[in-house]
Amino acid sequence: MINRGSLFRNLALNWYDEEMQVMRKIRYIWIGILGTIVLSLLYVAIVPFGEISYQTDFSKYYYFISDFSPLERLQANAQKIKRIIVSEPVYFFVRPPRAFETVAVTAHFTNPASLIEIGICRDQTAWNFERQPFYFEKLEQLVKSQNTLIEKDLILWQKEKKYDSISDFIKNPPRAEDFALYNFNITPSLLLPDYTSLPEPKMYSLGIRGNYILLTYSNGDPIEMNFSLKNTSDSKTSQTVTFNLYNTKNEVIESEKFNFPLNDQQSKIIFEKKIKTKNLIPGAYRLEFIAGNDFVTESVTTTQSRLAFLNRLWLTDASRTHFSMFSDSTNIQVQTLNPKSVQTIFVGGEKIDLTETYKQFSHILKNQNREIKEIKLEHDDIIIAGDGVFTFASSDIINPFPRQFTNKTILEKSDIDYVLAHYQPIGSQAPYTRTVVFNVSPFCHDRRGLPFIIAAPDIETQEPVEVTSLDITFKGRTLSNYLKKLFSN
Amino acid sequence: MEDFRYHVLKETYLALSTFLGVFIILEIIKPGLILGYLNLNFWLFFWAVNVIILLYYKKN
Repeated sequence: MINRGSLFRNLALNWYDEEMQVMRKIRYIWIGILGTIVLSLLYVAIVPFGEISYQTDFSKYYYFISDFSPLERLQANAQKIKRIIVSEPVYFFVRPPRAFETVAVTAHFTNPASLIEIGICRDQTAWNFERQPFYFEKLEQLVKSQNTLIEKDLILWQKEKKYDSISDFIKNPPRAEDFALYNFNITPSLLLPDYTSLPEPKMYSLGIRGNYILLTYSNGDPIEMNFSLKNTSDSKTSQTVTFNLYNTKNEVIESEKFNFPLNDQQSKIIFEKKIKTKNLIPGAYRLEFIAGNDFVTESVTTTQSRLAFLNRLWLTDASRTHFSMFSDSTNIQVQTLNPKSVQTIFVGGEKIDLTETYKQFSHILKNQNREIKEIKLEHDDIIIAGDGVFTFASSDIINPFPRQFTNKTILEKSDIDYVLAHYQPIGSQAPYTRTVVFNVSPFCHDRRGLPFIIAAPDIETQEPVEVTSLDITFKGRTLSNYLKKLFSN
Repeated sequence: MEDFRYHVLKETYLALSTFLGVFIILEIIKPGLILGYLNLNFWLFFWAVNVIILLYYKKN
């Protein structure tokens, strides 16, 4: 048994004989090595020059960049390295040593899918990611067209040449129906001179689970809506619900965050939440509802006569059968988690067979024009998504936004006359390498690190995407900047 | 010579224990600072081997 006290007594050894002189030198050496290691570790923890990089090729465990997850969406290569993506999206987490302002992600791919995007988490509750393009095959092809203008990172394709420059297009955009956007935001102002709100508040039965974006219109009057919300979770912890109202310029008009009340019978709570704005500038407005999938919006009571859901909604199980919805989408994705909701859906007369649970079924409509199409559903409890809006009545439709140019858009068949994209072509020769830069959001950082997403909507198992390596560079305040700020306050 | 070897082993024990203690304290203060760069399994292994040899020497 080693006496513990000897450890400390050794520090006070008597250095009299020759051997002890050697021992003293040895002690100085290891104390020096320890000091150097500690200083080096402090250096990489503090990052005094404000920049640090991490690289991985996924061949071995690396603390700072996690492996891709979930594992079911990966396939190992011949060396058993799990970096081949067969299904999307996949996530990875990065652990920076301290807070930084920006992060640059450089990815090296082989065999890219027709569209690959890399994103960083912006909202952990809603699991929302800000995405940036890595590779977009359709844009790579459009760049080669004679009718394409390129200015810096902007690309403008025109069916027939009308605009001489992209800045002209941005200053005087055509009608929202006539153009499609990718990774760029311009929304022409929408004025509905004939708009009238309802004389009496109407209750719209929704039965929508989780997050959604509601589009509505104001002719200058305040927007007033009364939501009936239900929490279906068994969780006893407080959960937050957020409403954000934006105008078409993406400016926040109103924002409200509140904790959903809890009690012993919380699953039965119907909580009424009233949203009322001040007088508004006439135009379209976007109301974003952010909550977990435990929340169901049972209904909304309002005098708004236009009410549409943008891009995606999850119709919860409210025993609705043989009912219709309406949409101006040109491609539709449907999915259900409920075996009872396996069904055949008709969209503008075209059939989508939803034959399995959990699998997402995607359908590109033959009618690529932005007309209102009826969606006939047999049962609810399905997730329905598309590149347009969804409503419960055809008269409710409002969509001030131009279409998104996606990998499913068929320009030849559609009535799109212009495509404006914020994208820098990287060519169609392997290896495919691009660096995307994001601002770092501290709100998403948890014990696993900062979440990132790799999305490739059209990936096929037969043609997987291989990420050969990832380089992550964080940039932020330097130590001298930090000290200057500290002492200047 | 035998005595010198024993002293070297004791010094190694002291060094490895101090390193290990400092690393554990740093890891508690700033998670990931040590585990991000060093594999403490090897460190613990060498420390354990050193202790076993030291005990053997002490016994004899």
